[in-house]
Amino acid sequence: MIREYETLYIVSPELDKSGIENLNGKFKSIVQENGGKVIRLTRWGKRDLAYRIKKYNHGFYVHLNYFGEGRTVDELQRNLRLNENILRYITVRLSEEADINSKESMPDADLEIKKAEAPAAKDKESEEKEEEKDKNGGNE
Amino acid sequence: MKRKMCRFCSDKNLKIDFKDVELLRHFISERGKIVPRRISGNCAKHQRWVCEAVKMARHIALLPYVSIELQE
Repeated sequence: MIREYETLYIVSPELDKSGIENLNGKFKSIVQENGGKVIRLTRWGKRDLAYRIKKYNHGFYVHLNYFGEGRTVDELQRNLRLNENILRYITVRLSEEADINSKESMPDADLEIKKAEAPAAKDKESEEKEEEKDKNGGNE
Repeated sequence: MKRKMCRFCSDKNLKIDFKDVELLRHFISERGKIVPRRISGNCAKHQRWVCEAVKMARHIALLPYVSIELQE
């Protein structure tokens, strides 16, 4: 039975752009190879984490919206779990029984969240400091 | 005393989504705790949904589990 799902995952801030794109491509193909269909992948960009995970203060959020079966989700989550560059993920079922053709696949998109403006209001100096903290692994 | 109506009952277009951090922030205290129903004015059904959404948002680090006051 096909259902609509969404998965949100956080990629380690140590990866560069191409590294993240590689991962995104990999997860999209996993969905497609397991009886699913990607509706849209949305990059939320680098955001502050509400609390420190694996000593990182930031992470790249990626949102994936797709149709799939149970095994699609199983396989995607298995891969997310095994990948060391994924800090967290969460999958939510959006609908019971969906028609796989009811929504078309859309190109990848970048999302500017309204909230993203607020942390950016900080002066550059403190931002740079936090970058350094990320690199040093925030040892205390 | 004016009784506050449940925000989600009075506005049917308002969806509870764990990704909507701005909305969920109304339902957590400064300490990061979930605001009780008697304060938030939510109906039982929507309070349950808000509660679940906050917990999901916490897991994915969009909201804090605890937020400690900044030292001055």
